[in-house]
Amino acid sequence: MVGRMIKGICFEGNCIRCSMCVEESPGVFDFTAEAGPHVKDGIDTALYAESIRRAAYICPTQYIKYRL
Amino acid sequence: MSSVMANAYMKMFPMEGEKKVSAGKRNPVLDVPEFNKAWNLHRDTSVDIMKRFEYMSQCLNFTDKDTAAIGESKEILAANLEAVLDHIYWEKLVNDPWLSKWFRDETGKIAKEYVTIRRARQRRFLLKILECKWDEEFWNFVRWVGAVHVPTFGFEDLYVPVRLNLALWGYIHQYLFNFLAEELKNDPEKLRRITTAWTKLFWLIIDIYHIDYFAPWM
Repeated sequence: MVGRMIKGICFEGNCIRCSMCVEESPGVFDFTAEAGPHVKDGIDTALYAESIRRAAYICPTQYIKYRL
Repeated sequence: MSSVMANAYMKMFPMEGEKKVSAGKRNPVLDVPEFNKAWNLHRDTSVDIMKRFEYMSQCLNFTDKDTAAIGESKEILAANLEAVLDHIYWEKLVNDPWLSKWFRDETGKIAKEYVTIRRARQRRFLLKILECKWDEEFWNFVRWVGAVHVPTFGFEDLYVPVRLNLALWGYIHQYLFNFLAEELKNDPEKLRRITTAWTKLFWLIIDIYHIDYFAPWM
């Protein structure tokens, strides 16, 4: 799995607004208290594959989904 | 002129307010090679987090065997992590008469959303431990978690007492050990291995976690 590119990110389910995804992958995610996390515009997700995986792994509700 | 922080500091370290009297003779400590060596070690471990980890590891005899033992515990703990966290946060913390203070809103009620977030953050902490990567990134993370519980970034009102940290980590420590003892009651050698390793790791974490709580000479 390590080294494979990530092609897409989406959100499914509930977000508890912990904002840890931004801490794990600040280059990819933005966060507002009202809307929760969102993916920054124009991001080449392949460049941030490892940190995106970490954000998804850490997410307490598995709200972050990614596609290889 | 004094500030809230200055007053708090003087209360915490009352010796600072004592009159200083010279001993009338020079202190030869740094002329003694052994003391000089200790000074260099003290200085290095104060500014380099990996040297701190290396020194504390050899001091505690935290070895690759301990890392392997913590890795062994992953299959047990990861499978039960949610239940362990539920107990710590939703049974212990919100009901403890002192610890629960930090989880209440301004009306005194338990702030459930906040507890959920704190539980999620503790979950991340434990997941990172279970990865067993004791690299600079991990130890900087441990240090950062400690640092954001004190006014490192200028929030003078933010101070989570050391006593609370010790109470929480102590509670997690004993709860995990009792949990592991139950899970491994038929394999006492594995239990000894795992609990010994976790004990050392807890002390390593407590040291690094509190770097920004204390002056390095404390």
